[in-house]
Amino acid sequence: MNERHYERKFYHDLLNLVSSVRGISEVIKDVDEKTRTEMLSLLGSLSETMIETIHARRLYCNLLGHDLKCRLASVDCERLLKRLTDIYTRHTLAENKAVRVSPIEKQTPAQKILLNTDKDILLGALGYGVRTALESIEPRQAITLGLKTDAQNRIIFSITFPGSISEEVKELVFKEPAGDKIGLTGHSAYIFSALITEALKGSANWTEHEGAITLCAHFEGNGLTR
Amino acid sequence: MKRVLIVDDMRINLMILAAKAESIGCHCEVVESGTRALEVLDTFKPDIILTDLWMPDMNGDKLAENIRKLPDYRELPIFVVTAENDGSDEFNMSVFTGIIQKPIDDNRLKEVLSPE
Repeated sequence: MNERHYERKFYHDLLNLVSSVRGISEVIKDVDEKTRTEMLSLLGSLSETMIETIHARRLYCNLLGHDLKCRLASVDCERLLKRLTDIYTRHTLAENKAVRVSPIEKQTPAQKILLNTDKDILLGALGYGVRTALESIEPRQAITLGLKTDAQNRIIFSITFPGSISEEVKELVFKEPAGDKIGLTGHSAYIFSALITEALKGSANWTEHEGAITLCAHFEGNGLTR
Repeated sequence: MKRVLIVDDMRINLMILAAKAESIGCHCEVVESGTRALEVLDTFKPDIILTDLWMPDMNGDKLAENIRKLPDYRELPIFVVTAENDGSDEFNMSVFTGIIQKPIDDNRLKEVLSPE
């Protein structure tokens, strides 16, 4: 699928979101109190989704144009995970779906998980992983975000969601998609992997276990404090 | 009173379209998927369907194609409500009675939903 397709999809999604915002502004004065409250809440969700959609597209364009500039700083990974959860809990892709966080796995309870990286690129990269998961699951299913460190001080972000992947497409995971496929062979999974490996010099992999798929981003822990 | 079946996977779009249609005197049923739309056809008996185009379980054109196969609904007006332009080559737009472009123009909606 060519770039024009993704560009068109981006403008479609954006116009869709803006149309919803305008629609709310047109009808909100005439609806009952309960509906008004729900619409106001959805307005927040639409705004968050619009911001995320624009950021994600900009990141993708910079990746394509080899124009990603990493601004390294010490990033608190737990805070970043919280921000990621906040964005996608309210995202329209998560409608009728759940975004959960598993307990952080640290070497010691007091450990602060710090990573010297570009916060915005890391947030965007993990966001593409979350998109992959949310696009793959059915309504009323959940995805689970995780963060852990291991004995070698590596930092691992994970995104787990129900699903399985057939033998014949395993080779295609994280590859540049030939079609508008969703899931591990889709556009979002490819960008997740490309940003983690090319821009942030980490590694990305996936595993499948007992009906669940897990996407992982691994980084050498260069800033763990205890 | 026109009976309008609205199909969209985004709840906010269902709420907005239903509020607009009801304000011009329509009776609405809203469903969040193409599969659900097919299930409620015989109980709700719509006079017209307004459907989204991109939906996870069944795109709007596939829904319309499935409805057109049912003898009782072959002639049912089905309008697609979309931010996609009408030059789309990825969907079978010919299966729809017409298009309502997003952002929705209230005059266009009235024209489509007004009693004959």
